[in-house]
Amino acid sequence: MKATNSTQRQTMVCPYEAPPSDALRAFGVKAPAPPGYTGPDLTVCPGYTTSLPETIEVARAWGWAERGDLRAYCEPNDAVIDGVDIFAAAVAELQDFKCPTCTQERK
Amino acid sequence: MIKPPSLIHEFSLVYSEDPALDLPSDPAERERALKVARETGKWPIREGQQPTMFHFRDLTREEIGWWRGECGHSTALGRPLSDVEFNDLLVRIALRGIDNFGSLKVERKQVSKGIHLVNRDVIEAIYEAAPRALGEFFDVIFVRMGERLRPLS
Repeated sequence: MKATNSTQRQTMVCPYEAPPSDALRAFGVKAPAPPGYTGPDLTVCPGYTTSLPETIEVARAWGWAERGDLRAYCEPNDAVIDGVDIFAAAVAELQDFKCPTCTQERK
Repeated sequence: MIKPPSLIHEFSLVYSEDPALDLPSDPAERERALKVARETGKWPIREGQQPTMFHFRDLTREEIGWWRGECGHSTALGRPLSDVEFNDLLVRIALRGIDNFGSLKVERKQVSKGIHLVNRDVIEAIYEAAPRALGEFFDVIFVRMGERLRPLS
């Protein structure tokens, strides 16, 4: 975030910044997505979403779940279990995006 | 100490009218700043000031079930709860502690199996100090109850 100025962050739909003016919108306002991304439009900058405390909490829970010891990290409730499922799917999607041939080889 | 939003642990909320908060005067900007503070746990606090921090925890499935049952037919009152009463009851279930709020001590007492409530006098004291705070906290707790995975969904 320190590498960008306020206007740049506005064009990236950063929730910390005020919504962009109409003049700025004319130049294009879009949350950044990686090349080749075909999912739904991002509503906010992914840098914001991925640094939220609850996202980090779920990422840590996923790490413990991967090692088969989620209960060592927390007493899992429905939200944590759902979060781990969503996170695991996102990780698989990312792995596929980074290395599609690896996924095909696994199959 | 401010506790960040959490699915597992306690998290802190600051009442939007707390004088220690440094919020924009424009209403839309103010709402945006509050939304970000509630999502990130980074509250815009004036230098040298200390806000009153209310610590909550998401309701368990058991607590949600009990609360809904009480809304329809209160065990103590023998009738459905009014809007104000069910708002207060939800806050009494979720509230775990308060920092910087005088000498008032938050105590939780068991009222049913697995259900603990904050003392009624704590709710009265919050209402005396900031009448709209309880409604604001209710809104946050209620939304979290229905959409606990907003950041990931």
